[in-house]
Amino acid sequence: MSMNGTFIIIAVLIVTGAIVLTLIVANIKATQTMDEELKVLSENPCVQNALAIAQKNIPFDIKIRVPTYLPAEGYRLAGITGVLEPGGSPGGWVSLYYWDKEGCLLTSGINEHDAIMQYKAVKVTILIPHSPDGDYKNGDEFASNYYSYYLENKEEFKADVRLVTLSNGYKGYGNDPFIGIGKWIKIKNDGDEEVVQEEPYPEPGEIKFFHEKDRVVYIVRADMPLVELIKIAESIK
Amino acid sequence: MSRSRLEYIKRGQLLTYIMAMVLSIALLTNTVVYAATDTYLAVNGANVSEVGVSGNISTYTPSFGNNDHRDYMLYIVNGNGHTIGAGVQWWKHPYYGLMNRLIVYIYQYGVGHSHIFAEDNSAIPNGASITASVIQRAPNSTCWDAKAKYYGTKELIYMKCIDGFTTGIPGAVSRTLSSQYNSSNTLKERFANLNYYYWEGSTLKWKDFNTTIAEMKCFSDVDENYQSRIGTNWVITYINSYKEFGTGPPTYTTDNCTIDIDAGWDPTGE
Repeated sequence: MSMNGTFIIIAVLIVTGAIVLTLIVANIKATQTMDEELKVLSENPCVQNALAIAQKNIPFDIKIRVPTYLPAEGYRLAGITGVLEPGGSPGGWVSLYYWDKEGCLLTSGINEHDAIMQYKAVKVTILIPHSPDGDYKNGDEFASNYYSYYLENKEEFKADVRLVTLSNGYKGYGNDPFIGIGKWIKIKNDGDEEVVQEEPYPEPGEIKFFHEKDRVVYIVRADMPLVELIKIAESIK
Repeated sequence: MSRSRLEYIKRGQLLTYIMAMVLSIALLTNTVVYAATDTYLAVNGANVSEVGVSGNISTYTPSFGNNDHRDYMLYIVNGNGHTIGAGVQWWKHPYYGLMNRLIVYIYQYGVGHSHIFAEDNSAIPNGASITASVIQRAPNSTCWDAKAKYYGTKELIYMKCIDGFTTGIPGAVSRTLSSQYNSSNTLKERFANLNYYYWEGSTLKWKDFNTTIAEMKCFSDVDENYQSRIGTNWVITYINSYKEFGTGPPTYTTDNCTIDIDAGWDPTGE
């Protein structure tokens, strides 16, 4: 092979590599498979432990779409939890935690509730469906099923749940932060229930929607008004 | 309208009547405070779409401050955070001291959380073993039966339906104050004979739990912590097998753990 030929091959390889790299970087910012996302996340010191578990348990090809809108400057990925069955079995979920503070979340005994309510994290959960086709026919079915349940049990609920249609047309439901209740219920000998103590239990706001293209459910929880949660949800393209 | 339905079995009424009165009085005067806590938990990390969990909890008198409680339970949690658990609770009354009772725990996002107990199933002896289970009522049902039982004399059964809650990850949990606060905060619990449940058609089956231990603060499986059988100096560790593990007073003053994660499997609201 001539020098010119070798040069051309090397040049082609370099250009091809650059193109591939560009595509990968671009893909990371848009949408990617779980495996790809986890590779990127492996460089994040906040998520490596959870990563080790999640990497062993990746089911069928799942896309993780990340929000491009967060409520303030400085919010970054600061923790991940993943619960996935091995061997491509369906089910499970992955949660991404964003916050605007230094350091990693979820490594100091901070549970989900405290992360959101005390440390003002934004949690984005992707529910892995039980089949690649998803657990719901469409967003209407997803939202209306739950909303019917909510209406039937409204007296029990403290959250004021509303149906939501996102700007991209996806359907879901959500509520503002609310004051839930921690109850201590005594079962009396005659079988009746008696609430012996109640205490307020502040809860985050939430929006859930069915991503019809990916066939997964997204949940966004934060101590923020529903209108703000809707903006975050709408940025999950 | 609530879909909760209670099935409560009363036994030993006469014997426990006095204790029930004491508990009632104590409850009226006790203010439960949710302290900053660490949660020691073990989960079936290999199976996340299951329909039940069961096992034994050997419960030992813990040590902790006034106006606090410890819940030790087997539970199911799903991706929405909905949680149903059953087990035993220790709590401390400023006058009457440490008490315990069988407990069912429910967390439902949008509603809140409930600790449910019965009048006459307290006073479980130190070191006694209770059985606990949370099992789906029927295939694809959103209803779950939570049961805690002490040797045939005390039993608490509670059924709860939560929309969308048809499968979850089975787990077992002990809860204590941070290991860095005070070594006197102990929880000498032992979980054994752990199983998870699944359906084969309409037949309910179960398998060994195949435990994955995770703990929100830290845990260690180094040799010096294999002391759980004598009840001292143990954190969270396997005891005899993957189906059995113990939690106990911390040996660490720093966070130098083998694994240090919040796996997202903790029972919500605890």
